[in-house]
Amino acid sequence: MGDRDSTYSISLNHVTRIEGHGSVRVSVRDGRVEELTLSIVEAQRFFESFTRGMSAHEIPWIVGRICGICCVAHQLAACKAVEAALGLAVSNQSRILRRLLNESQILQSHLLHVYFLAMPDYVGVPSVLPLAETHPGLVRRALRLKHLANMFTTVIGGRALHPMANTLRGWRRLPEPDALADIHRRLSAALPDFEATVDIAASLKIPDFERETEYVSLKHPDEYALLDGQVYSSDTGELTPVSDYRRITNEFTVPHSTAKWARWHRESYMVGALARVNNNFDQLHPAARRAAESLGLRVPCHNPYMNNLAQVVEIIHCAHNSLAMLEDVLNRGLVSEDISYTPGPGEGVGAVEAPRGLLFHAYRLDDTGRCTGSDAVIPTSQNINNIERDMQAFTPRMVATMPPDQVRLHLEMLLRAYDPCISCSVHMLDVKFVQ
Amino acid sequence: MSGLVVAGIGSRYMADDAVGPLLVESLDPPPGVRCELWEDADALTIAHRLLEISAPVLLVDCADMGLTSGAWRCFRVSPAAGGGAAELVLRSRTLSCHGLGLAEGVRIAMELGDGRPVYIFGVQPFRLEPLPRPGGGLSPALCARMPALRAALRRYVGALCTTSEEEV
Repeated sequence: MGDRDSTYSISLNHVTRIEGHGSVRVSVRDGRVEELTLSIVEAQRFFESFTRGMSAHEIPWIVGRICGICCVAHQLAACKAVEAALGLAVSNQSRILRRLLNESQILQSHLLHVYFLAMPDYVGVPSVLPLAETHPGLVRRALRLKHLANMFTTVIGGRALHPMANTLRGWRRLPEPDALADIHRRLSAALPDFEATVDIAASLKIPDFERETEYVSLKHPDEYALLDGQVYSSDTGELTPVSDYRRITNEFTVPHSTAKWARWHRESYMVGALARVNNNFDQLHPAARRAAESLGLRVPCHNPYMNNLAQVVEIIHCAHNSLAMLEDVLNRGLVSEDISYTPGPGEGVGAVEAPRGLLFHAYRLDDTGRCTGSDAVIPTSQNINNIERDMQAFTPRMVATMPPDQVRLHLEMLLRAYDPCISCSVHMLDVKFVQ
Repeated sequence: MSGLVVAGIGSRYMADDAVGPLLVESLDPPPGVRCELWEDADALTIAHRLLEISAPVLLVDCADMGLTSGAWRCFRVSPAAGGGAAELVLRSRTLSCHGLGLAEGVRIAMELGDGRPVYIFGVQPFRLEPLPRPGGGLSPALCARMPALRAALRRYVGALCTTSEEEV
């Protein structure tokens, strides 16, 4: 590498997008990384203010709009928080339907990310459009599976995006038995497509980079925790109640980010598919554990790029686990339930595993049940601190062995591997090298 | 051209973006033509639906074509414009979950499909911001244009039905 290549800067500037604006700046002088910052410059969105004055049942509909991908997770976290505030019980039937709804959304989100956002990087094309030309079978399969996942959410929640059937305590309108049987049949028929997803993922060349961090996720005694549980830290091996979320996230600010950052037992932590797989591997469906073996994902895994493969493992888990839950629902049948409640005062916290990681919602209600205060801590804001530290650790190695365009690509891939809400912005970024 | 599918695309809650569904649901289709509403469909859903249909498809949608508001235009979509066809402008240089639009969805379907033609009946909007009234709906200006747009759509559907694919 000559002098011309040993001093340069990489600026990944933000572009206005719906869910997040991020930028990465790397300055390299004489082959050494002088500066690296991952900035989040997104403007405040004020959802926590929107909810003030709203009645309890309106809150989940308002906050679901925080994200067009993770709308189900926001709805469910809000429902759980409000139910905790009001002391409302949820039936086993509603809990199973919520698990199905959440897993359908995880399928939607992971399939979108693995096939349409991450895959082009590994195949060496700039987007899914040339991928359709070079790998038509792969893109056809991706479209089939994404469509199936959308249908799954529609059957359980009433529509694929921002479902309306679910509400506090349960379901306004229960899924139709025929539709449940049909989606069960379609999921069963799609198992070869899911397995083929593992096969193609196993062929991807994942960058060789490891940095151990703290992995944080829900943990449940009886199931792979995606909906319920307490918060587990891989650093301590201890469980913390969801209601103590502020003690977990310890949000703080940094000058180069409008998003709050988070840390717990060390300087940063990671949430998301890899954290979940690391923390709860033994509770994955056996087919998912086999998929992990095929993918070379052995826990604990400290390579953040492997988050993409952990998502594939969870795709297999959700497909098989949802089939089992659908069989259970079909055998038991669904019955209409009383979901009425009496509004009143209270404070509550709810947490679920969104596709991108642990999501907290908290609400305070007045005597009439109207919201007087709220808080939401999303997975991406918990991950940003860890992403920047990964970049700071990996970039010096990359700079020593790769040309600038490869450094840029690997930085984008690293950011994208976390599946952050700002991944779309990074895809759109122009990269400028300053000699 | 037999088996034509006419699909209305858009959202009823985004002012003139509702024009696709409203035009298609009011279309009295000639024999052999099937009407469908693809409301609020994302790009990947549109791509998947186009691949499922083994027939020519006419998409009816609100479109920014640089025309006078309320004007309409019919064309065949082609990866490379020419010969009466038009190329849809891709919104994003590379794709993301938030950058996928109709153009990307149609392009993916055309890459993967068997060459069945895709046509567009596009209407230039007056406004796309939701109107401050319950239930959404078209802007008053586009409402007034609806009879003419319905007539134009009927004529275009009729022309597609009586024309071979090669002639369009």
